[in-house]
Amino acid sequence: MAGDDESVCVYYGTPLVSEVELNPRKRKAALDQGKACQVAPWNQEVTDSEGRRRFHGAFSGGFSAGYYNTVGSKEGWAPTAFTSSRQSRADKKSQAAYDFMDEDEKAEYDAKNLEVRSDFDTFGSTAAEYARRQAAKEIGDRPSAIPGPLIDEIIVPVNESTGVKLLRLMGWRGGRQIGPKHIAAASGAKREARKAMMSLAQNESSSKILPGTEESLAVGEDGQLADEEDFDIEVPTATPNFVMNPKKDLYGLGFDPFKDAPEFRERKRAREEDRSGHGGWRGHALALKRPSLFRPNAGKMGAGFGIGALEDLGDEDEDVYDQGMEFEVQELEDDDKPPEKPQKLLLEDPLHKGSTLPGFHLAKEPPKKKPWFSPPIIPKNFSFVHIFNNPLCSERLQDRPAPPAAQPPDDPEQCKYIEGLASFVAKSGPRLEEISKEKQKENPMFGFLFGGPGHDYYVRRLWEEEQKLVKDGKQQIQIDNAQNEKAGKQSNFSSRLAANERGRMLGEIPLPKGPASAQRLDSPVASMVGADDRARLQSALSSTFTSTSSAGESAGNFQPFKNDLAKQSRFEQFLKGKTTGGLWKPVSGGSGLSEAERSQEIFEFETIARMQQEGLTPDKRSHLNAPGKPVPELVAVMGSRFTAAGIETTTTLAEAAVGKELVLRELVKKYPIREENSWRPAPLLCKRFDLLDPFAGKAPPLPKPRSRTESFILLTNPVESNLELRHPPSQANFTQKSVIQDPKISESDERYGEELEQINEKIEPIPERPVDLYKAIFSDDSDDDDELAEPAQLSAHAGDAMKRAEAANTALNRLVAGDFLESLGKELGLEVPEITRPTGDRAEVKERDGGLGRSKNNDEYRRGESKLQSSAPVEVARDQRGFSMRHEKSPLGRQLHKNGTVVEDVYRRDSQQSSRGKVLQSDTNEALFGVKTRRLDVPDAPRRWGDDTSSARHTATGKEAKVSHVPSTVSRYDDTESESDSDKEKALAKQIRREERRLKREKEKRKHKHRKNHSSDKSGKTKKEKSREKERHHHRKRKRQRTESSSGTSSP
Amino acid sequence: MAGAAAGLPSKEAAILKGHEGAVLAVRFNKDGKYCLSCGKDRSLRLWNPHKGIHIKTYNGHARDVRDVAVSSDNSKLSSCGGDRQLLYWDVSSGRIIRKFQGHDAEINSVKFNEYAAALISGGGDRSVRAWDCRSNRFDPIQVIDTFKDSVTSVQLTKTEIIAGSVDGTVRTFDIRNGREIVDDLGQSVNSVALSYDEGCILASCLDSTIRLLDRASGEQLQEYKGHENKAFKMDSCLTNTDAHVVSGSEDGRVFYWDLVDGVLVKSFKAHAAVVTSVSYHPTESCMLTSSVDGTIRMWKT
Repeated sequence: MAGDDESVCVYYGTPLVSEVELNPRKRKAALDQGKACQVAPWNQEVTDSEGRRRFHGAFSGGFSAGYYNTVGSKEGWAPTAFTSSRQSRADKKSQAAYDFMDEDEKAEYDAKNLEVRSDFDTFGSTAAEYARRQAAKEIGDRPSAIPGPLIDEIIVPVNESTGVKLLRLMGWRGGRQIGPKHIAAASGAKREARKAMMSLAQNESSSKILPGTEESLAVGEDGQLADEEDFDIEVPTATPNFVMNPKKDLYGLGFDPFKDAPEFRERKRAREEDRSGHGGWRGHALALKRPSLFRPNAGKMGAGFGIGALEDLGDEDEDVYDQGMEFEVQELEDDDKPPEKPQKLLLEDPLHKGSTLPGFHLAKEPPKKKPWFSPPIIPKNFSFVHIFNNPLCSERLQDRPAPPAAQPPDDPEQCKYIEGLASFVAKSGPRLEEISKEKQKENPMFGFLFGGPGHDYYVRRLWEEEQKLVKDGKQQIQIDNAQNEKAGKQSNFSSRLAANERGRMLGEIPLPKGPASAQRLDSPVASMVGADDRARLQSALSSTFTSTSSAGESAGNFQPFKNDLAKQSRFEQFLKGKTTGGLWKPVSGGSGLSEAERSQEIFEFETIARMQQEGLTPDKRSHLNAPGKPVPELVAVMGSRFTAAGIETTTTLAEAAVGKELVLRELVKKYPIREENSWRPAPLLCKRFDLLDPFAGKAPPLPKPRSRTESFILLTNPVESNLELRHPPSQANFTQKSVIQDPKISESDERYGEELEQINEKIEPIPERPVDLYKAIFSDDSDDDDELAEPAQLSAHAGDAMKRAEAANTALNRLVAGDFLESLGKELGLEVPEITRPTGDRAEVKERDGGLGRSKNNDEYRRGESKLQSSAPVEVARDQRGFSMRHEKSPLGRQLHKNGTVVEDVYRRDSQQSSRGKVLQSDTNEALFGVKTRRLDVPDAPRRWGDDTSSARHTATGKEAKVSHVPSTVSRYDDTESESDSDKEKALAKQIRREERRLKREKEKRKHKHRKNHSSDKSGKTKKEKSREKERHHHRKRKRQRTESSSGTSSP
Repeated sequence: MAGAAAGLPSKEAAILKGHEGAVLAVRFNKDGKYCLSCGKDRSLRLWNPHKGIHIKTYNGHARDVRDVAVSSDNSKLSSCGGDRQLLYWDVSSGRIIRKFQGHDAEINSVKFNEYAAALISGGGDRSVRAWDCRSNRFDPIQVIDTFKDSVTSVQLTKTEIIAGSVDGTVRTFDIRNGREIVDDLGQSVNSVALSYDEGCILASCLDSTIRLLDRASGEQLQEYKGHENKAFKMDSCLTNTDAHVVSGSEDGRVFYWDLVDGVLVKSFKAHAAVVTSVSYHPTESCMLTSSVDGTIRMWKT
């Protein structure tokens, strides 16, 4: 904190943070003063010994760069622009040791190696090179007719370098190597010989060398020619003497086929040499040797045709467009040289060895030749036809003239031998005869073989046997198509199942044929299979095959109408027509039968034929002709499927139906065919056609579900309705029929009423809807009429209930008005838009007896009564027959039966139509609508829509009570709306009414109590129902309390 | 028979020229004073055939116009054609009131219902569609798609829609009873016509046969043969007395058969090419024929 000099001073408090800390410069100074501890570590700086900042950038701790302690530049570390090496990746980078040398190493290296400066160029090459480069540069600058450095290459620089001049002075000749001559001296006589050769070669190849140049030898560009090794001493390649190399091939200019494979170059050249005039130079001859070894097919390709796709060229540099033929030189043709030498070179010289394909050596021994066999010589008399024995040779055998008939020998033993051998020989061929001849040489019994007695007979016998075999063979071939002809006589095939027999067994229709099939039933197989089995077979297989003809034919044998010949003949004709296929033509009208009789007869025929096809035996069939006697099996089978009918013949209903249909089909047989389907016109279409919608009031077809879930949702409703309809099947059917589809029944009111009554007695009770559902809907909003409001509970909370009832009343007034309008419109013949009606389920329950079904809950009863009191005489639509019908708007046809109470769901109507307010008057529904209109005439009737009670009593006759079910949601909404509307308007009237109502309610209570006592004994209500009602009651109570509490807060 | 044949129109009373290209249909209006024709030239034409006057041309279709219908009050037209559109025209102004689009293929036939409140059309999309002329709906009132092949012809009674189809059926849709009656003729039905008493259906089939069906029973009452009709859509109709059956032929002739006997009563060369349509005057013995040769001819006795 404090320095020593300041130790005397005492500081209190925290020292001020001076600007020293804030200014970096000053901070540095402060640091120097040892105040670093005051600086936070992240503010501290690293400095070197000289106090320079050491790190720069990257949060001041990163790079050591910049000014003096940097990469060396003033700018410090500055990243260079990135240059991609991607493009130059393929470029080869030649690296030498020199590149990796340090400076001192380089200096050392330079010191060791002598360099020639260009102006003191010893060999002139560098000077030439330089000049050439200069020229190239110039060419690059100036345009020229012939691009490239060609011209400059031709024009060799004139001036000679100082070194060359010096050398010349020393006696050097151009093209010679500079160096010691000891190798040459050591060479001796061999070299002498070579020199001679060289001079020869020089003469020969002088044409290739420009006359101006002294250099004589045509040497390749690279100095590694193997066979020139020996010469290298005298002919250095170092001197880049310019050799004119005229272009003789057809490659593109500048294209070097041997760029990457120099070893082939020489071969090529050798070949050219050879072509141009072979035998010249030994080296070339040597070079010639090689290709023939490692490329055996060299030059064998078609000349002038290029490279075929399938030609596998050993080397791609082969001059494809060689002209003319080539030939291989197998031998070295030099004669002035001993042959051992080059051959030795060829085989043993590692260099030469390497020139064969790498990884291969030359074979020591030539591969063995595979033996080649010449094709056999065909004898001149060879015939190309092979003659088979039996049965193909049968023609030949048959053609053989029959030997004369001979008497069998007297000796029966020998006769037997002869016959046996003859049959054997006939079967096995003449070879057997020879064998037996061999064997039985000594046997006197076989003397007939050798021309002895009995030979004639043997020959004859043999011939006979052969003939027989031939015949058999033929028949075997023809077995399928010539079955019938030989079926009688050829017993040896009868054991096999013939095709036609099999087909018959399987019930196939045979091919059209002659009358031969008459005896078929007597054929062995048919006789073997028992009649029952056959029938079973046919019946079992008849489903897989077309109808059998055999059945028809056997039916021909069988005569079901023996006593009526005409009929029998017609039956046969019918069968024939049936089996021949096609359209059956009715039996000619000559029989004098009426149309009805004929069709009856045809039906009979059909039935019989069918029975027969199914394999009924005649005795069973006889039942058919005896009416009234059921075929036991059939009855047993069909009895389970069909109920007994009043048809006299028990040919079964199924048979009848199927048969009739078939007969009808056949009778109709031609177009036009009429069909009738149900079709639902769109309501709007009906409207536009000014027609009544025949489907009005019926459930609309389900819209096509767009998704699975939707279909699920949509399906629930019909299912529910089905469930409800299902209860007593007959009942359900009846109502559906009568109400929806069959207007006839409803037309006759009398019958309808009777039937309904009958049914009513059968109907079982249907469990009611869960109460709390609609209670949840309705009790909340007090849609009850004031008269119908629950008196018992309401007494406590009279005020609130009154209000609600009031609102409901107004709503109902509207409905009433609507209804009134409608009925008025009806009278005037006008269409009045109907006020939207509740769409929930509703049903009317009628109670036959006033005494029955009264064991309802107190308040329910009350309500019923009160309702009746208010509107009893006019409200309920009834007809004389003691039941009333009601327009039912639920989509479900519902029937309820409770304690002998029928809830008759009379009519369904979809809400769409009802909302449209279309009054339907189609004659089909007249009866129903008669009822409906009656109801509509009553202005008070719609009150019941708002009634959520489940029972109401009709007192007009004292007989019946009505139970109105399930009010709707719509009414509820109406009520709530009306509540808000009418609240204020009717504030005054309320007060008065309230008083009245209270009085009424008191009355009702008393009445109700009385009735309850009276009816609860009589009513046959089950405990279950009671308990359910109780439960409902409880529910309602709870609900009411809830609503009251809520409404109590809101209402004034 | 000769007397009966004498009363049949066979003399050319007028020739209406104007269509460029084939005339595909010609229709008398309800009282027979005017006629309408449509053709391959994408136009509808209104004529007074008795005076031989061309009154108006209605252009608006994009393709050939195949059928035209006139409302009974002569105020509206509707036409249909290869452009899959059903156009609803105002006769006097010649404007298109509405375009009904919905058919997925060419529309072959169109009819107004009795009070021109709805249009019924049948087309190559195997459907019959009902369109509303009263409201502003553009989608069909109803689509009947029980057909298995394209619908060639539509006829209406007061309560029924009758449609013939290439699938060989004549289907009657009874709106009042909600029934569909299918009469399978086994042959592609080319056109359907109704007798004036509406008791019979005349269905011309593509096997060069015209069949007369009893509507009540569905029985075939008579067949009429002799003409040629194998490839073209051609009309046939009954005379106004319901005594004869008239049909064109692909060889340009017109044939008359006795309705009851089915005997060919008369035939004459009417056109140079296929007679595409015949329309009989509702009250007089007067007939219009249209042809591929581009002319419409009126025939009188």
